[in-house]
Amino acid sequence: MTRSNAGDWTRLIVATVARGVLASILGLALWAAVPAVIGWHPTTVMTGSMEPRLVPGDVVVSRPVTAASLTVGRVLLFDDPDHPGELRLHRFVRTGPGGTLITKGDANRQDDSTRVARAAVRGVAFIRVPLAGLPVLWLREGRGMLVAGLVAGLAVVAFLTTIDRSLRRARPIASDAAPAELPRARHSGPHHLPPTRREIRRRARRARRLAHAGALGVLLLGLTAFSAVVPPAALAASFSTTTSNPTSTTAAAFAGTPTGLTCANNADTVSVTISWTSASSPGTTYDVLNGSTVIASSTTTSAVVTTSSVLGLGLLAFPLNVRADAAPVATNWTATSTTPVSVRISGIGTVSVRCA
Amino acid sequence: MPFVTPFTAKIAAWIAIPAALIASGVIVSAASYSAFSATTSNPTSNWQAGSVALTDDDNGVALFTVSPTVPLKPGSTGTNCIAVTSTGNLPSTVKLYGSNYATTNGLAAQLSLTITQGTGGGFGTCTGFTPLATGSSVYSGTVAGFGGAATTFATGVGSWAPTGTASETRVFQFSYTLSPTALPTVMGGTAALGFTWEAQNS
Repeated sequence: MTRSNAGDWTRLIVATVARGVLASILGLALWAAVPAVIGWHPTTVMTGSMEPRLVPGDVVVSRPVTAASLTVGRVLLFDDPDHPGELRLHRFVRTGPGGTLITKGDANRQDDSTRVARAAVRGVAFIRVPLAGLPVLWLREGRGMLVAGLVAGLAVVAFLTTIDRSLRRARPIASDAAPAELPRARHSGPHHLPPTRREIRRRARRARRLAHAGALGVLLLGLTAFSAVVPPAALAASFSTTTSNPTSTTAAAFAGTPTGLTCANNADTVSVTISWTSASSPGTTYDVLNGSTVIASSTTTSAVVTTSSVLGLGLLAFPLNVRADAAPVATNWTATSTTPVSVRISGIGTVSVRCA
Repeated sequence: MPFVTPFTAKIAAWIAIPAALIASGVIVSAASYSAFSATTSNPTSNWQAGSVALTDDDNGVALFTVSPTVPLKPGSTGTNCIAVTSTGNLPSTVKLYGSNYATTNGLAAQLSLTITQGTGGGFGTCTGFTPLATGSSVYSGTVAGFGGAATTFATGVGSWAPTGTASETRVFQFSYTLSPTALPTVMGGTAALGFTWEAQNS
């Protein structure tokens, strides 16, 4: 006996496990790719913002649903509002203003800052195929060596599936006693002799090689179809965080029209005090005017008008208005009273200014 | 140990494939259940520490608070700085946008706003602030233009892209000026605007 019995069993087990590994990978790829045929969306998870439920490299298949049937708590696939052309896979946590959706990555501290329109939802996450998108993730991250390693590993596994082939044929007990070699006569021309045993074995080998190549081809085709269906550009989760400065507030100065102008004679008998009210902002200054001539100025809501300030006008009786200046007069941030108060010049005794 | 018969070998050859397909189906359905079933709809609070992280040094104080006793007049200006630090471990993009924007009497349209990025200085003082040698301008326009347009990450301004390999701090200098030729129509007007920096992994 040239063959070891234990060696046969080892070969059989290794080949069977190898077939199981290949079929499992193919099965996962099918789970990820086949739903696309009925319009579902397979996407590859690129970041850990939905950890621990979804990890980078997972393929998540989302099922299209109507906008009305979205429920809080489900994981949705939607157009990323912050990165046009990309997809985001986050959880729907609350309904926002105007029927929009507030979403959040499970591993994110804060809600996504931008609200999501219902129309932007592509589907509800339905199938998770663990790690089936790892090659896509690696390619996107520029780790081509890992992909090459994976392909090499698969090739080795594919080779291992063939090492038990001879065991499936009838045990070659008879052939242990080597058949008598036929004469090495070379035949040429249209002679049709019955095939030799060597010829039969050669044909069988050729047929097996063909079948083997066919199986490998199917496998490659399947993986190619899978990688074509799973869009490599699908960025299906994103981390985000914010820091904010509280709302700054500013207010502009305001010149409120002075109203309720009153005049009071002062005890010194030569001056009067003009008083008014105004809703101006703090810091406003006031000018008492006759026409456009400034008679007196004040930073409060009253001003003293003295004889000397009005004598130069050459009038005996005249109206006074008050202008509020919220900013330098040149900016026109002013407001002037519309109901004047009148004063007069009195010449009895000493010249003085009195309320009219 | 019995011999491996061709029959055994053929059974072994084919049993692995349906078994593996069933196994992959079980893996997928179990994984889908744990990820998406209703019982897991309550998100965990298992935050991944520091994947992207931003902080600022304002201690919750607004950059500008114009005192009611000193209201803005034409030509009024103000400047403040704020340091924003990224401590995440993922490469990210940081955008600045506004929140709670509001104005009355059109004041915001008369308030120019300039945002510059650089190093040095911090909240409350711009002493030592140095703009970046290139690309220091973050925004130049009016408060109304910023508050109305930059409202989300997608419409936000800025070019800061922390690499995620080490903590990075960037100082933002904010300056406003009420136009010296502001019309009297804005008298008594108000303007309000909050600022938010958002980092998203890139």
